[in-house]
Amino acid sequence: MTIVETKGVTKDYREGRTDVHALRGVDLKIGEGEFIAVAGPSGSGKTTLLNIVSGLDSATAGEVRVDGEEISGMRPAALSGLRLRKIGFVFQSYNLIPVLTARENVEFTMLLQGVPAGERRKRALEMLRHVGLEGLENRRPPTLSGGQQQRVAVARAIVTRPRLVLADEPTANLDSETGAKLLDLMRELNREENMTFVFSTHDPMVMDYSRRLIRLHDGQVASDERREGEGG
Amino acid sequence: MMLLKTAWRNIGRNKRRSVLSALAIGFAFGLLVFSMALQRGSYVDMIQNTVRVHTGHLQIQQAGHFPERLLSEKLDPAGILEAVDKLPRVVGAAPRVMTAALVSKGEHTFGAAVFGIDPEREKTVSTLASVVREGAFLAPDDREGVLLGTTLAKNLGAAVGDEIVFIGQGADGSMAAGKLIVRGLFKMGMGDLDRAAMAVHLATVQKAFSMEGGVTEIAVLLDSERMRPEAEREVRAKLDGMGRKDAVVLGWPTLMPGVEQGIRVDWNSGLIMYAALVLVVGFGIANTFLMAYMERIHELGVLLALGMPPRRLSRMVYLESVLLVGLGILVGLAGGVPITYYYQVNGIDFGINEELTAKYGMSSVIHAQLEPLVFAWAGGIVLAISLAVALYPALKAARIKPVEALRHT
Repeated sequence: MTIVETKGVTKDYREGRTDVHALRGVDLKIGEGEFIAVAGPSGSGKTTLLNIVSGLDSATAGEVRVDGEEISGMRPAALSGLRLRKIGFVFQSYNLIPVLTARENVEFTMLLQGVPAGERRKRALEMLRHVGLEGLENRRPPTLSGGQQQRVAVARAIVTRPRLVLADEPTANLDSETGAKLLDLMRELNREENMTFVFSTHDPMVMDYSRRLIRLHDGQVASDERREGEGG
Repeated sequence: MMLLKTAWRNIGRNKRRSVLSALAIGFAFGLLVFSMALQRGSYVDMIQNTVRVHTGHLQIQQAGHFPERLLSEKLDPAGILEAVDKLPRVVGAAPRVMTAALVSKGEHTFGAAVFGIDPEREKTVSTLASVVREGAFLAPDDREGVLLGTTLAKNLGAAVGDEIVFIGQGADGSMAAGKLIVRGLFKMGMGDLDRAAMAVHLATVQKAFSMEGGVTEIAVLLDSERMRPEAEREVRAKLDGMGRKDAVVLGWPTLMPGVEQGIRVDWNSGLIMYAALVLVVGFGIANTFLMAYMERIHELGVLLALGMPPRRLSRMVYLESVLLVGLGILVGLAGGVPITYYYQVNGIDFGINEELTAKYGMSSVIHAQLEPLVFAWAGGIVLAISLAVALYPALKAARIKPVEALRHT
């Protein structure tokens, strides 16, 4: 089943006096349960593609479907709703809410979904245990290491069982050992839950872990390679 | 609950800034409570002084006498004074005949307001006895004496012991005239009264003006202006109990609408000034709210990325401001109320013209007056302005473009 489909997606914007063509007609189909790395040099359009797929940014032209819903032209509130129901995010710089504890951060998306407090708490604690953060539930982000913070971010992204997890350079701020552990964790979730993961990266290790590697160059798909049995 | 917790903790992120903002709001609120209470207090003192000179807090009149004030619409005071005297909030009650006459001495003639008074009872209601500057106040049974306003006496060329004559029109249209001896001169400090008023024994005026024992009013002084509406009901009930449907009870605001309007104008112009003051503080607070918002644009972008609806994000940003404003008001209450209460009990002596104020039976001390109205207005102004300025960052938050916010560092 197709989770994400893009047809002829382009993205143009102006930066100062320069016209930037960030994406130039991207056609992609991403199926359920895939574990994909979108790679490419800086400026190749990786982050722009993820932003457009998640509705954080809009395409200049083309169609984007997420889980069957056409998202171009959706209102901001509807896009927020779509992200809340179907998409989990993992950011390069973790982006946890600094005033909330690890558990409260994981609870946050469930709170937005309207999950009752007791269940929220239970599921958040389970998920933190699952990502190996038992005992650190009541710590606030500034008191956690980078790897621990990124685990909290992963727990936050997946606790609501989204159809799609988008991770923008998730290992960029981590050392290789911590990065590998995190990728192991996400691979495990991918296998166990059949959750779809799409990474933007230029980290060779992430590319090694992926089962499909899409290379972007100058806003276009330069290669799309399936690597069954690779990684981990 | 969690949003509230998040908002609360966000306030704690920059403690110094939040404390300063809360103090600014608190100071504005406390200052407003204090100033407004003082203003209300000055009205209470002013009303007290005014009713002591003029009308009393309440007057009992014949129905239809006011506002034309015709002598023919006279009240039979029988039994009323004794009954009113017994009411708990009543300090004093005095019957009067208020009319007008031409008053002459030698070749000088002037128009004057004639106050027919019961000398003993008048002392319990008005300050007239205490503002006699020359001579003496009327003795209880002095039917021939008159007190003149100092300016009137000067204009007439009359001094204590001189004889004057008056001529006017009685209640039945007949001529009212008589001869009086000046017993004293009074100075109220109010131009009109000092220039054109004279006080004569009630019985003399009743006889000369054909009042047949009737009066134009019974002035009633209460122990407190605050109790006036209640006292008015009690007097009314008493009159009803006596079957005196012909008598009406009027409060001083009806009798002296100018004074009440003056208070209202002063209060309203004060409100505009207070709002302007809080607006200045509001700009400072707006800056704080905006800073707190600008610092967190990236984080707000993250919340949008996580799926928070823009309106909810806006509400969260607003909630933080509301909490800060609430905190400020608590600070203002904690600081402002005890200070104001202290001055409610002890009063503030402005020390201006002490001699002058004492001379006219007034006080230079103003007692603050903490009333629900003060809290309602002070709270209303501070809340309206601070919550209005808090709208700006909240509305901006609702329009954040997530991708731009995420790029914001």
